[in-house]
Amino acid sequence: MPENDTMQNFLTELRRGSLTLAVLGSLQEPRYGYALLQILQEQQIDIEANTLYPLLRRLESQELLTSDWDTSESRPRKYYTVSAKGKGVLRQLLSEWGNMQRSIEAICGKGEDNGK
Amino acid sequence: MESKTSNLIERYVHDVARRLPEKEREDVKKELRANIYDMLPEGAGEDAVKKVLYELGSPASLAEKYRTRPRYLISPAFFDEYVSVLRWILPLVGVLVMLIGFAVGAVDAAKEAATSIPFAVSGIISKGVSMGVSAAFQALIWTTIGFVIAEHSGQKKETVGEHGWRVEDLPEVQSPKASIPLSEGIAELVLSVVFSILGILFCLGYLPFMMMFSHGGTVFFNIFSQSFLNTLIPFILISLLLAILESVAKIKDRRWSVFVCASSVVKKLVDMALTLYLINQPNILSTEFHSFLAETGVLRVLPSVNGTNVIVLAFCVLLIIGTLADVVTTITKTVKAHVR
Repeated sequence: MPENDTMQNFLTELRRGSLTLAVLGSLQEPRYGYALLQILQEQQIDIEANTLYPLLRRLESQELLTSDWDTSESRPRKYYTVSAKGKGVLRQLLSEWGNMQRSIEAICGKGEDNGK
Repeated sequence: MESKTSNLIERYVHDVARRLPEKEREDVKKELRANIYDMLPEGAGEDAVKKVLYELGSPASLAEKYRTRPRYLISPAFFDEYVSVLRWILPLVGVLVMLIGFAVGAVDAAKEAATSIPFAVSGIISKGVSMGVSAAFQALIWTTIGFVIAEHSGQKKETVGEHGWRVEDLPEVQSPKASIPLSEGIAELVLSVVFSILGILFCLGYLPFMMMFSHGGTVFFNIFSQSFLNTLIPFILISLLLAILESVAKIKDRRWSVFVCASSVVKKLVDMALTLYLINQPNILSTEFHSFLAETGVLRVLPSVNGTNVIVLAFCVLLIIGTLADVVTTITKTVKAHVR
């Protein structure tokens, strides 16, 4: 059990930063919280509701996302879209992501020969 | 059914929001409510609502995720030390004061000449336990206050120089002798507060502390006169104030800094002066105890110098020598800590 927990911690830490990337990337068009959650989960991104909702709020307060309440339906929904600032951040993060992947592959070798 | 599910959701949303800063509450509630309803199928029952809420996790943990930075009274950096100090200081103070309580209870019982032994014993035990428990609570409170001071005095965010800090300001690596363990300052804080309170209670007569002598049957005396005890209270308070100052200095600096040294020297000298003044008061002892001593001939055996009892005189000399030696050691320690 403890070994599993440690593994889980490693994975969580590794994924933490990439969640921002995934969220900014999938909000090129307006989406509301739960729809976004489903899209991310369909793409095998391991994220839970209780992580996504606070993350959306944080990104919005950092002005990387803009939001709009849609009140035309029976229940109001908050739609998020990536802002201009958010797009800039996303571009920089993506290029860093590429750099990091190259560096890590150079150090550890490509994925296949590394799995023992 | 509809009202019951919406009630559950409202209760959950409120419980999350009340843990957040006030200006965020309404927004978070609105967002969270919308998100929860999105996660539910149309016309969902109570079970579906419960499932979604469990998925979101406890309100406390969700609120924690909404908070940008965690808040601590005592941060993880200090928590281990906090627990380990509590682990010895609570039993120490508790047991010590409980023993004092037993003694007080015993004197009470004997004074009332309690006839039934079980009654006397239960009185003694309840006195000891209640005093011990309340002293332990005092110790808990003061230890916590000490650590909160340490926590928040360490968080001063001063920025100097172009990097926000300077290599030159790094403290010297200290020999263990130059540093003061955090536990020392906190232990001193707790012990001075607890024992000053006991001292004041004693002076006010809440702790009937007496001595028992068998002198043709058992007799009880108040050793000290009430007028002397009344003058004692401000002295205890002054001494307590200085003790708090000294321990706060130790908690903040945690080494023999000039501030710690000065507060410690002032406390020692003031304590000495107060004690010298007090011991030379004419009416320290209660009349009953005084006459008892005179009767038994103790006073006659002791020679006086210029009308001052020789015991008092010896005590004064020892006190002055002891205090001065103590002050010199303190200053030496500080100087050593500053000179490499």
